[in-house]
Amino acid sequence: MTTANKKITTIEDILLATQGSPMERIIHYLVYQDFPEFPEKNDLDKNSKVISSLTLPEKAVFATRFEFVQKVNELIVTHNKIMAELIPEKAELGREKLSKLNIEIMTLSKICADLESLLWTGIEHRLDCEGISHAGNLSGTLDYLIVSSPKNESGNYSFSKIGHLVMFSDAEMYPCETCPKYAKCNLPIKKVR
Amino acid sequence: MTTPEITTLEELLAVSKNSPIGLIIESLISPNLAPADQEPLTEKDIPVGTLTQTEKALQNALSNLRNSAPEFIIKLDEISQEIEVIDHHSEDAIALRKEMDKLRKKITYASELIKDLNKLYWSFIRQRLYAEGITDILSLGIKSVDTIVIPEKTDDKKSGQTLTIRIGF
Repeated sequence: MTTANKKITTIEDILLATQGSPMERIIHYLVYQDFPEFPEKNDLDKNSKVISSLTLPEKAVFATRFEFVQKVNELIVTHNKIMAELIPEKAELGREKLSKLNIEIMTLSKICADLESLLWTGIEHRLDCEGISHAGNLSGTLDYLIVSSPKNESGNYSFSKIGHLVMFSDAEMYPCETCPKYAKCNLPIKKVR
Repeated sequence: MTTPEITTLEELLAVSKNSPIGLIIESLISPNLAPADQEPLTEKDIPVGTLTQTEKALQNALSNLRNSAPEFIIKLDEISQEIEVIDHHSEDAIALRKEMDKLRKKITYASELIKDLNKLYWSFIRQRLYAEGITDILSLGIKSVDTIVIPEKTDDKKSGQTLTIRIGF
C-alpha cells in the first residue's frame, strides 16, 4: 500500500499543498524570488576569497531560515516583555502565555537549525561536485561563499557571516566533474539588492 | 503581490534540480509515492493526527534516499573486488578508483541528507502539531500508513514520565 498525494499540476497547487509549512515559504522564495533585505555587515576578512555563489534553492532555504530566525527573535522579545510585566495577581495567565511562547520558540528554533544543516549539506555536496572539495573553512553569505582566512583554523563551517549575503554575481564556476547527476540551474537569478 | 519569476512546475523542477529541496519538490509532485509504513495501530497507541502532503513528500524523499544508499554500497563492493584482481597501476585501475571515489561521495551525501531530512521531517510534524494545540508530546511515531501516534512503548513511559496531550491553548 502506498500513501496518496493530491495531484499537483501548477505552481498554485504546490503552494496550496504546502500551505502552513516552512516548505511553502521555500517554494514561495523559489517562485517569486522576493528575498528580504539582509542586515549588512562589513567584517569580511581581507584574506577571504570568493569561491562560489549560492544557487537559487540555497537562497530560498536561507531566506526561509532567516525569516524563521526573525520570528524567533520577535517571540523572545514578547516573552521577555511578558516576564518583565508579570504581576502576582495574574501570574497564572502569564505563565500559560509564557509556556505557549516557549514551545513556539523551541519548535521554530529547531526548524531553523534543521534548515541550516540541510543548507550546508547541499552546499558542501554542490561544491564537491564542482571540484571545490575541502576548500578550507567556509563562511556563508547569501550570495557568496568565501574561503575564510587561513588564520581561522577552527575547521568548522560557520554562519557567522551569513548576514552579508549579497549578490549572485559572476563568481567563478567550476565544471561538474565528480557527480554526473549534478546540474547547475541556468535560470537567471534576480539581484537581492 | 510580487510577480512570479517562475510560472510552471517544469521551471520549478529545473531550478531546484539536484538540490535537497528539489528532492522534496519532486516527491510532492510525484503521484507515485514509496510504500508507506505498514505497522498497524494498537489499542494503546494514541493517534494525534495524519501526515500532511508536505510531510508525506518528505517521508517519500527519505524512503527513496534510503533505498538508493544500499545500491551504492553494493556497487562500491563490486568495484573494490574488481580492482583487487587487476594491475593496480593500470589505466583501468585508475578509472575504477575514480569511480569508487564518486560512489563514496554519493554515499556520504546520501547519509548526510537522510540525517538532515529526517530531522526536518519530524520538526515539521512537531511544529504543526504544536500549532494545532497538541503540546507536551515527547515521543512520536508513524503507524497505519500516515497516522501520527504517540506509540504504545516509549522511553518516556519507561522512565516513568507522564505523557499528556493538551488540545487547545
